[in-house]
Parts: sequence; structure tokens; C-alpha cells
Amino acid sequence: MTSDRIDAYLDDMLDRLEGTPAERRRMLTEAETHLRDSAAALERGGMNTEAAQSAAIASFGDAPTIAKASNRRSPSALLGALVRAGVQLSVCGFAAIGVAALLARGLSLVTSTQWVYGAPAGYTFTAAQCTHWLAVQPAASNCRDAAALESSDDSFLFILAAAIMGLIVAGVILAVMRLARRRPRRVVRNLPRNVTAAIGATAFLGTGLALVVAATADGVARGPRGQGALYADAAVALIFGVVFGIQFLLTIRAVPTTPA
Amino acid sequence: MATDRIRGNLDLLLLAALASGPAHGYELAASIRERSAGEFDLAEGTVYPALHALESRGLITSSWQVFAGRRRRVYEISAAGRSARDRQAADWQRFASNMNQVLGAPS
Repeated sequence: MTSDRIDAYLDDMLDRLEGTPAERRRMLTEAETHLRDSAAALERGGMNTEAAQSAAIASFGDAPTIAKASNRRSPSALLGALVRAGVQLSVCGFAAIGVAALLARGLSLVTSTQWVYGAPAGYTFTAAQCTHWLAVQPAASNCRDAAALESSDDSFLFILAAAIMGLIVAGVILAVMRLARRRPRRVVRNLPRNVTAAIGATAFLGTGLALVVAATADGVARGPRGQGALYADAAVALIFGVVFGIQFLLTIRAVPTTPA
Repeated sequence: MATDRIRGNLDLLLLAALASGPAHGYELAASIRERSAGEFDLAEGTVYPALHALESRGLITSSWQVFAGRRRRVYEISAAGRSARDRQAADWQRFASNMNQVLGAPS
């Protein structure tokens, strides 16, 4: 078995490189081609293979330094990548709000408006709140029912707001894409997929768990919101979180290697 | 030649080398070394992150090509890159001229 110093060097570099798979693959391919060309030229000059490979690596620079230089991102590139990831997650967030509002509406049809949108049993309405709820919901017989009905109506506003925000974000994305096509082609660096997936999983699972706690606590801490609405929000957030979590696990799954 | 000084001007050196025609990284490193009569002996691997950064700024373009059985990324200067090279070269000439005047050497 012969030792290939260039292979060992590339393994070390791959271990240190950050970025998307395409970025790392490109840097590695270029490094290998360069090192093999350099070593071949030195061998033609009379060096043996091992010495030529060592000299080629020495001229190329040590793996930690080159990987560090390759991993460096300009602040504007980093900001752009963060904004793109933020927009992507925002679109999911707005979709989640819309789906959760629809789910809560469906839940209220099979259970009750009070359970989904009503305030918890221990919640005490102030006189000012009662006056307000009864003024906006004159058909309600009492303060508690008026608050639940108003909360139910508000859920439509949530769906509408989520849809409008989603359309605005989609419009901005389309406008930016159209603008990008007119400008000279540039390399766009996004955050690695596993990073975006990890952020999404953390945000959605965290929100989902917090909502489950708020719903199960069923105390005044959750304010005048219905238990059912919180469960609906929690279910949707957890589903989105699980999807992001699966995406994250798939991106970090070790690729099986075939023995040389 | 101080390595830091080469590193600080690597973008200009690469744009100047690419102004002669498309080339891959190994050729560019060799070209810079040869043109400087061996004075600019930088760590060759640093050429690639610099090329990637120039490409992300739209100053150069690149594509994969196969030579002698190996895939190589071949780089080419863009119109924006030529303008940047001209501007940076003029800045450098002015700086060198001023330095020479201060040092009392012929500019």
C-alpha cells in the first residue's frame, strides 16, 4: 500500500472546509488538480513521487490556512445569505400562521367556539374589557361569549394578514429574481442547507413546545386566548419543526463510503 | 517581498494576470511567480479563495473545462473586472510614484 500525501492533505482540508457541498467540492477539486499538476511538474524535473508531492503541498500552503481563507465570507455576502435564509423561513412562518388559523377554525366547528377561542376558566375580565367585547359583539349574551366570538372573528384577520404578508414576500422574491437576471451573473452564496434547517427546526419546535405548555397550563398566564387555538398553533408549529428536523438529519447523514 | 504586501494586492495581481487571457488557478499562480521573477512567491492555495471572491463580486467568470483528463475551473476577466483592474492599477502607479518621490528615487 502506497501513501498518497496529496490524498491525506485533501482529507484534512475537507474536514476543515465550511460552506455548501458545492463550495467545498469546488475548492477540493481545484486544490487536487493544482497539487497533482504541481507534483507532476516536479517529478518531470527529477524528484521522486513522495518528495514531489511534499514540495507541491508546501508550495500550496498548509490546509488550516487555506481552508480558513476559503471559509472567509465578506460581511455583505454573509448578510445576503442570512437575509435569504430569513426570507425562506419567513415564508414558512406565514404559511404556518395561515394553516394554524384554518385548523383552529375547523376545530371550533367540531368542538366549541368557547374552547377554541374563549378565555380560560380562571380568567377575570375587567369592566373595561367587558364593555369593549360587548360593544363589538352585541349579539353575545355575556362578556365571556363576546370575547370568544371576537377572538374567532380575529382569526380570519390572522389568515388574511398571513396571506397578504406571504404574497408581499413572494412578490419581493420575484422582483429580486427578475432584477438579478438583468445584472451580470454573480455567484450567490447561501447558508448551508443544514444551518437553515437547524434554525427552522429550533424555531418551530421551540415555538410548538412553548404553545403546548401554554395550552396545557390552561391558566391565566396565556391571557384571553382559547386552549384549542393554542393547541392548533402548537400542532402546526411542531409539524413544521419536525419537517425541518428531518431535513436537518438528512443533510448531516453520513454518506457511506466504499473502501478503496 | 513581504507576504502581507502580496496578499493585500492579490486581487489586482490576479486581475492583471487574467487580462492576458483565460487561465486556471495553477497557471495563474505560475504566471504571477514568473512575471515577478520569483519575487511574488505566495502560498499557491490562497489564489483560489481570492478567485472565488472576485467571482462573487462579478469581476471574473468561470467554467469547468477538461484538460489532460482533469477537470479544471477556468477563469476569465469580465468587463467590470477590466475596469476594476484599470482603476486599481492607476491607483497603484500613483502610489508608487508618490512613494518614489518621497524616497528621492526616480519615479
